[in-house]
Amino acid sequence: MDPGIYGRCESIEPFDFFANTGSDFNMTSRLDSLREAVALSPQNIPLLLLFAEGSLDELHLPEARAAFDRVLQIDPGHIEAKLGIARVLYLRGNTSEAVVRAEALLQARPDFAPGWLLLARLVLAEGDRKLGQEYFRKAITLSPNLTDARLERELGIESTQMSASTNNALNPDPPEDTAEFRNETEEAADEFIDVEKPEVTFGDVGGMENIKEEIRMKIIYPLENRALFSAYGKKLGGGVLLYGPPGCGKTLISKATAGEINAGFISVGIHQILDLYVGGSEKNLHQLFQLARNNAPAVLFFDEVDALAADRKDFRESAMRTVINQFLAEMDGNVGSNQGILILGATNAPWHLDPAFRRPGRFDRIIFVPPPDESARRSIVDILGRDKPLQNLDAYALAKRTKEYSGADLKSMFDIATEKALSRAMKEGRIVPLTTEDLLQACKGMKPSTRVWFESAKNYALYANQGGFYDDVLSFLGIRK
Amino acid sequence: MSESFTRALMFVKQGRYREAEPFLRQAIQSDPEDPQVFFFLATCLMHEPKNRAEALSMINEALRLRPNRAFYHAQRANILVLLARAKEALREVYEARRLAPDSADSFVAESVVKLVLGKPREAERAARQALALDPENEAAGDSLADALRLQSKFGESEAQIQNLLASNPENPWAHSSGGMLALQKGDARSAERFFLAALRIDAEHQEARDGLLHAFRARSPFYRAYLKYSFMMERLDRVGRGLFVIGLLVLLQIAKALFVGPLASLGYLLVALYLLFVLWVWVARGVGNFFLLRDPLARHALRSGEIREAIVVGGGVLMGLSAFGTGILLKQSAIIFFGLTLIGAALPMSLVFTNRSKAGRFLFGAAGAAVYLGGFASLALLLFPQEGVGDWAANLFGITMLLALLTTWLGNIPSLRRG
Repeated sequence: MDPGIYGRCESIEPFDFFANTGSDFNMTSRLDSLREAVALSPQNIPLLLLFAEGSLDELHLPEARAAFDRVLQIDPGHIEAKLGIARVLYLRGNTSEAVVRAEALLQARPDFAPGWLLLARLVLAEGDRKLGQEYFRKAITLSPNLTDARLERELGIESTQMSASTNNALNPDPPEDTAEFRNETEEAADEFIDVEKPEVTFGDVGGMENIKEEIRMKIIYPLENRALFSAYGKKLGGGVLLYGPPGCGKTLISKATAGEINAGFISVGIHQILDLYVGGSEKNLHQLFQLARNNAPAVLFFDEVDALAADRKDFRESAMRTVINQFLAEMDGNVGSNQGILILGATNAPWHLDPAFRRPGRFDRIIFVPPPDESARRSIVDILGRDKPLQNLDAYALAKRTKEYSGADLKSMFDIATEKALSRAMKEGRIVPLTTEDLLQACKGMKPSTRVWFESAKNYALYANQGGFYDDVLSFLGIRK
Repeated sequence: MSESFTRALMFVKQGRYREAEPFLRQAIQSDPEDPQVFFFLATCLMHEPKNRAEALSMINEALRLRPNRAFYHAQRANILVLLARAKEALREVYEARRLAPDSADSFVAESVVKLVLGKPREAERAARQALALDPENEAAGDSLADALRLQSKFGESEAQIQNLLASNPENPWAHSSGGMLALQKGDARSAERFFLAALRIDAEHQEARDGLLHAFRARSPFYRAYLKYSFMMERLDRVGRGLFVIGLLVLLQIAKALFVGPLASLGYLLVALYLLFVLWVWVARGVGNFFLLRDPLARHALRSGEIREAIVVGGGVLMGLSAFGTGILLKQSAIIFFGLTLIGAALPMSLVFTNRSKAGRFLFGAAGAAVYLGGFASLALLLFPQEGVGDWAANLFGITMLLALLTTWLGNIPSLRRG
């Protein structure tokens, strides 16, 4: 009867073990740990690259070279490893050899912007400023967000394409610390974070009308009626948190928001922020916000924001706590004005978010993105059916049959049916059209992926609904009217 | 450390085991010789009942790669406990202790294993040893609170829970222990508050959720009586429990021999009460859940399997008892047959909807169907007697009821009954 006894085994956290018996994670330095990891896992390319980059940063050039060589042994065409070797050669002073290497890799991959950037630096080092400027422009043309402020200055280029692109007419508050910003964004750009200009708008997103209206209120109307909003002391921008089951369009609506206001869209994944160096993650986060500030109006979109804005009580060690504190400080605008920046966060696990992120001025609008309703499912079915050989597609019947399905589930249904139709087509040697029946058959073997999410969400909505955070979930489940 | 592993560790630290799992699998692909990855994957898998067999194979792999890691052995012990293999778990605990005699973890694991084996006194000793080595160890503190409660040392258990909550008010296990203590003391309202507090901190806390359901059901005096009985039985060891039931049976036989003639009806009443007492254990949860269906909050705490169980088992027993009583009053055998069929079928059906054993679900489902079929066939024969079939109705009904009782014996086989 006593459920507690067996459950106790689950109460023992794995980190309790580390706390008491000596952790495998007591790293003295990042590079040492990476070195150990590489020794244990010599075939792991991402790990080798990480180690090589770390060695370059520490100017451990022979180790960096060895790691890049190892990557090339495993994958002889690996472009980043080739670029890395050229960088090692340049840092060693073998500029001519570095130029030859860089030219060779660009011959094979002329669209590789970082290659042109390096070549620009190399030819400048060899004294050819004009050629350097040409290569630099080539790099910027290929990737407008790629920049190197120091190189730019050394080449005597007045302004980069990137800074030109940031002079958006809608920008209400150009940052005063532009020079400082450039230095900071220089590194952010090196991390290949792109400022997109999405073409998708609200018109391309089926359903979700209340969500669109919330976002309009938060960013679009203020931009259109700036004077009116400032008369009421309202600032442009702010934070909106979208939560709901996976595959239900949180990323799409975020992208469409940027498309709607013709703003830059910066999509951030946790891997772009987290850094093993102490303080590295905080720096990355700050650079990212600075990038958005300089591109305002911009939508800064944090996918799986729960990973970065996690509840601090879940982290005993201070490293992650300081990242979360930095995130809060950036959101508050303590380290730079967030005027004109809409911070969108998407999460499948809002219950893992630190409650501090829900306070006013941060993610103060919280929107539940439910699975698509019947009419939205119809639209999705129509969209998914485009460019496929179809015969009498009954979107109504499919929408009726796919209750609780997410957009991703509907796509999966199409994929299964298409595979079957393809196999028939190969047997018969002709194109066999996809029918409603095929899709309904595909449905039979599927369970809506949203169910698992709602099982968890129901528990949080029933037992941890402080401040009515999950009222929308309760309403959706029919528990609360 | 691969990016997947770093990501997985973040999830593990947050207790998001389901989400960590795919990243750990990726990490294994990039480095199949890293024992830590296997250890963490085992840790994630053990939280899902259906994945525990795989969790064991993962911890075995971790131990193959690093056989002398004491906490891998301790974790293996935990997994074995969850797989209801407590004796093997104990061996693993001793191995962990041999490898790291100064580690609190081995003692915590030992304490848990001893609790499962029904040895709360030894569990208390192990928990205290763990706390002597690491006074901040919450798992040891929780285990100590439970060990004290199971020895009916309510005051000490309560003080221990208060200490745990004073040092960390956000410890869901301590709240949950408080709930269990309140339940054992018969204070269902306090138990409800404790369990709700645990669920507010961790809404997916399985122990608290189960405890809350007990607390909700305990609003009914019948269920409270059942809980008292369960807690009393829990305090006895296996032999003690067997002796208790046999003792009751002997007393019943003596009573039957004494109550003859005009007192015979008293004897029958005692037999009925004995049967109700013995069989109530099987249907108490279903009946309790049936009452919860009317509660606006509590009914949402039930899972779909529990709702089906509430309707079939709880509804069946209550309707069956009403029909049985009406049949006795009206002296109508058909109504008595109908009532007993519903009650009899509820016994195997109580092991269908929430049973995690596939074989058990199939076996008891088939037995339940057979009881319904046999009972209603007997009823049909009784209502529409056929010539030349003799007393088939009564014979068939007798066999059917015997089958229903037989399933309670089968229900004691652990592999056929996993909650």
